[in-house]
Amino acid sequence: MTTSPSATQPGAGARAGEPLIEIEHLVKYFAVREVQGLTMVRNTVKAVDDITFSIADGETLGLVGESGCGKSTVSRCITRLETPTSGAIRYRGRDIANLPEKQLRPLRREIQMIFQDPYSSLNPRQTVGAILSTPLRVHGLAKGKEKARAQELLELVGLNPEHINRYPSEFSGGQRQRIGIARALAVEPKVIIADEPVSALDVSVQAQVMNLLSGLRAELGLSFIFIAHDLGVIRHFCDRVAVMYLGKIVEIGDKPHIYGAPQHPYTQALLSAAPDINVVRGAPPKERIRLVGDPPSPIDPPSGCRFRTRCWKAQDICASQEPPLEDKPGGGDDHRIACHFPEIKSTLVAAVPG
Amino acid sequence: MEPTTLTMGTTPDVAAAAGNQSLHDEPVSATVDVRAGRSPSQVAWERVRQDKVAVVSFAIVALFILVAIFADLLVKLEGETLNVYHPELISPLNTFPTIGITPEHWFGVEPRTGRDLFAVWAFGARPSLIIGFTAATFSTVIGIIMGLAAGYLGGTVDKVITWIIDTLLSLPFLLMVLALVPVIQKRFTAPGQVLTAEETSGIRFWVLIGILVFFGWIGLARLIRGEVLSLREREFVQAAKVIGVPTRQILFREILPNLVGPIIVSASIAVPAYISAEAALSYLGAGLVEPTPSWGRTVSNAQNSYARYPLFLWPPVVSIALLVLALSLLGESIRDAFDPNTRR
Repeated sequence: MTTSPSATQPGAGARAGEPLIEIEHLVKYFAVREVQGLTMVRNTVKAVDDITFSIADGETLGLVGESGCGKSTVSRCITRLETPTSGAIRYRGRDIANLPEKQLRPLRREIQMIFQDPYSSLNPRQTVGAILSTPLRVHGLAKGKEKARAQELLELVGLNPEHINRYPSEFSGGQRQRIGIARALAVEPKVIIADEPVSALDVSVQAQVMNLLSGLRAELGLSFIFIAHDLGVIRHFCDRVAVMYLGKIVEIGDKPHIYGAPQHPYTQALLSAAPDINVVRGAPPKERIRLVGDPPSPIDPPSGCRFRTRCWKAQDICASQEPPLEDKPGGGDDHRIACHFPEIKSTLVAAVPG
Repeated sequence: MEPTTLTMGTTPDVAAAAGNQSLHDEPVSATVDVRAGRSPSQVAWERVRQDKVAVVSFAIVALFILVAIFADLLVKLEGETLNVYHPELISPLNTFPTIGITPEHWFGVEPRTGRDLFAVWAFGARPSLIIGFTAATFSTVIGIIMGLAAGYLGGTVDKVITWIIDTLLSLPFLLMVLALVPVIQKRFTAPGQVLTAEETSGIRFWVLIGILVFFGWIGLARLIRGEVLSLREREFVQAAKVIGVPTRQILFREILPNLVGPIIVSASIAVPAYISAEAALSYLGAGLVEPTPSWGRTVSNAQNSYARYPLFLWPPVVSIALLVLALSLLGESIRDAFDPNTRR
């Protein structure tokens, strides 16, 4: 059924239509209070600091970056689990960034989310049937036939519809994640935001869940915002890729450009950090970029280019001027880079696992 | 029904998980799945019914409830009435009864007055049980609502509720009760009115329930608040928000079922605790007064004579101990039955 071995053309030809979701200058700051010495200091964590991107109908955007770079905050803003500090989130042209919950409710049907941890994302006290019929009940779908619809959903994600009376604790991690996917699909959404949906699963199960997602995408014409730190998974699944560093997008473009001709040093470092299976098989290791140290604190990010503290190309201009996210010579269409010294490196290739 | 997981076929997970993952969290059910088509609470009650400790505990609790309800009937069966005194059965030398257990007086008679002790015991079950169950119900409901509100809504609501809880916790319970009972009693008395013993007992009955509830909800509210604080960050609550589930439904359908354990444990401890509290307060003189019988007061009265006439003391003491034990065990087993994680 939905588990085709490889989806070579993810969301094929979806770029034409008008944008489904547009994010403009999205900013999310969190207020934190810290004790410094004897005084309480109020600080702001600049989790997401002015990012702009859009996705078209049927398109899949991958969002990569290391832990704490703000990718999950972006997803939580789009699903309005958080209210953005400023900026606009337009869904089909309508700004939902500050919409009150009542007006937001009908739109919630369109934007759904798949969570990272399948052990925490299902209510342990509810049967699978109850979990899957909650979204139906809230949105008044399949009235009176909730159970049949829930079984249909279980079948859609490759689970046995007979297991509708079982509890989440009776399923494995991969099966739980399938239930989470079925719950997201219950309201027939247009966009699914997947926040590291496979990173908690073991590798063989990861591939099956990824195949399930690409099958569903082809079958139901879904758009995805796919968050991961695994570049192989992103490459397998996405049309476009946005690379985030410390609350900013540093490079965004079509998958072939990002993987084939990355220009931002951070993208290059990320790609080069992915383990290469060929080295194990005896091939000589390629050039490897090693980043040293931890990313700086988002409470007090570096001036100018945020990556400069760990960048081997950093010069004075990087500290004084923030590089805008813009087209650079040598980049493809719609391939934007935020760097003063972009340079194409093409030998850094992340392997596709599975 | 599904005999084994291997026949699921459509689940590529299963084969892989069997190879790579731990087998124990797979729904491997070689036996026939008997749970199909029944609601979770039906399954839970079925488990309670199969638990011998729970059944015995339930029988004991039910027995005491029946004694309280049919006290009149039982006493009539014995051939006695509550407020009939038998001075002829009292030894004029030492005021102790001259009889023990007889067919006319199943638990003997009260020293000094000669009241039938079975009638005192049977009617004494009423205030104990009513106060215990009523106060436990109200304090549990209030505790749940306050805890949910404080934990989930946060902000000002949380601050206010936490402040109230801390204030109440800082008051010494026993001293407050001993001081409050006469004060509140006075509020319900018209100036110059002299209360009869029945009226005093009637007022104090409700005052006791009120005070027990007033101080009783804080423990559960604090417990629930803490649990909610951690549950609201769990991804299934986030998922419910993304779906657009209204806040009230998130609280009562998503979060509350996860608190069944602490709530049942707390309620099953609260009932015996309030029964003992009523007994203790009656013993200390802040509870019910003569001639209204109550287990606590009987224990209080019996302490001076229990060496010479133990029949006075044992019925209420054994009853309170049995009831407290049975309620605790019953609560424990209901909690286990509702927990899907302990299910095999």
